Amino acid sequence: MEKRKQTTTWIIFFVVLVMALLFVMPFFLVILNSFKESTAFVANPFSLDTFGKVANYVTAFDTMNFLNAFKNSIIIVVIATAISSILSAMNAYVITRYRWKINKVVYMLLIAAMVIPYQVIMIPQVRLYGMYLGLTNNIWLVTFLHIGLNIPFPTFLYSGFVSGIPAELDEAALIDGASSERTFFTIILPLLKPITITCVIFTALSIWNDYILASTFLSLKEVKTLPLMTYAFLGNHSADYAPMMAGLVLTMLPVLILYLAGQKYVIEGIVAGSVKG
Amino acid sequence: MSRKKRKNIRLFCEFVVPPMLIWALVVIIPLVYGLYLTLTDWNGLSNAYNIIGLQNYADVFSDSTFVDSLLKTFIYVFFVVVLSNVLGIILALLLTAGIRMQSIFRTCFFASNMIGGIVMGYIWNYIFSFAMTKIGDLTNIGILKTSWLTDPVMAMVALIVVTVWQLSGYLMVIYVAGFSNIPSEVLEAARIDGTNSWQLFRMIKLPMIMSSVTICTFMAISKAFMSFDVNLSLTSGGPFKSTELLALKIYQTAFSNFEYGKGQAEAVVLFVIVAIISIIQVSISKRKEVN
Repeated sequence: MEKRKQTTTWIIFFVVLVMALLFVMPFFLVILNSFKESTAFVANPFSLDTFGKVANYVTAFDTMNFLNAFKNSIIIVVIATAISSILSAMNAYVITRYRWKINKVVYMLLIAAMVIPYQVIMIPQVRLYGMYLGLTNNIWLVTFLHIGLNIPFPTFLYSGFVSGIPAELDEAALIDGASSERTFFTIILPLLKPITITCVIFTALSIWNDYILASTFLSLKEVKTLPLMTYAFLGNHSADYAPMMAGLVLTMLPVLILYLAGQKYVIEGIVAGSVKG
Repeated sequence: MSRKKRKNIRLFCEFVVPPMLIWALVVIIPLVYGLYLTLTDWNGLSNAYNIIGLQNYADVFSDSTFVDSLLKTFIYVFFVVVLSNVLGIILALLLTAGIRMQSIFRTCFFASNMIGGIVMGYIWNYIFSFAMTKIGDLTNIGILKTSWLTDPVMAMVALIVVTVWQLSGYLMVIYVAGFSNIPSEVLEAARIDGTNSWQLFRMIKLPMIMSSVTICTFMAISKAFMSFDVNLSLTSGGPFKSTELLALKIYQTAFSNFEYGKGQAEAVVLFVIVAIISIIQVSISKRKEVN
């Protein structure tokens, strides 16, 4: 009986191993071929011929205007994530702790908002912000729009976490004469650290990988973000595949490194975001 | 007004109003203004436009390319939702079976969710165009010999495969949490009663994770209906518009054909469909959940 169970576990192990290899295969192929010559890639994507070329990365770095695109991405991601997280935490604190009628309305609105596809607000945004206010090619507009789009889900995550913090903590502070504002910043905010890490990772990822919003508002090379430059670089239909592969590696490398470092929080975040939806 | 009430109003204005105001400026005002834009013939370039009533909606539904794209989107969403949930559940079951290196495997299955749709679409574009055809040549398997992306039906299959590859890793994480939350006494009791693995899954595990199924189906539906990036970089809607899903179609109508009013009407139709299907799905599967 025990032996049979062990055999089953080994079979499952090998099935999972094969599936996992299939799942990560695309990454390996891209990395492998980013170090080869284009002709060797076309001839056989699985071979090690001409492996060891770093020249592709130099080409990709130049063509994508990498440093500039990286800088634009970082500015938008860091500022939008920081502001949306703190605003969402404050929002969630008040709407979860104070049982006013209006807070229930606010909460329901935010939940309902999660099914709004970006496409339905994209064209009106172009007219309102691009045309009336003339803010196309402005990374601050893109930052602002990302903040607005990233209010509902983080508020929802924070709200779930705040309701798990004992209300006696706030009450004790309030009785001691601290204002609600002070109570939040000195007592509650430090306790929100774990969920804040989760929120930051989620928001930062979705903004870093965003294509549609950035492509709608940013058309000049100087203001483009990394995914836009990848597309511009790849969209020219040349047959020089190897540098393109290097460009893809350069675009995904920052997030893959962050993922390997902070995957615990990513996984926890998904689970936290999925309960009681 | 009492002092307490004044304090509460101040707190509300400081903590709730700023995020909600920004959200309203970014989402709600464009949403409402967008409904108004569907009544116009705005071309996106000039400032002027005429009010044309419901003409755009009439145009949308009499446009065969739109109806075609809508049908393709339904087919795509159906297969993505079913396959990604089935694969997600299978992966979660395998990972919770007590094997070694569980967390390393989880990292592998989830990794595809870290990269954006544009990059992902391109990676797979190369795989379908070069790697799979190479495998086809070596193994002599007919279906792999020509690139899937050049055939209308296989291009849709390719699009579904790539989406499922990404989404199932995401749903797996939620299902793993669901399976881990089943009390071990319940599983123990069933084992003593002599249930086999299939019965254990069908009669005990599946009913116990129905709330995970609800949320995963909900997520898969909304993600699939909004697919844009991967559609653009994997197939660009081709060959011959055979894989042009609704989200991409809206983008083309507005930004390539300069029919912003009509594009917005298409977007509103997409929104209504997603909202209705989500509400129906959540209310049906909530009823199936075990309390």
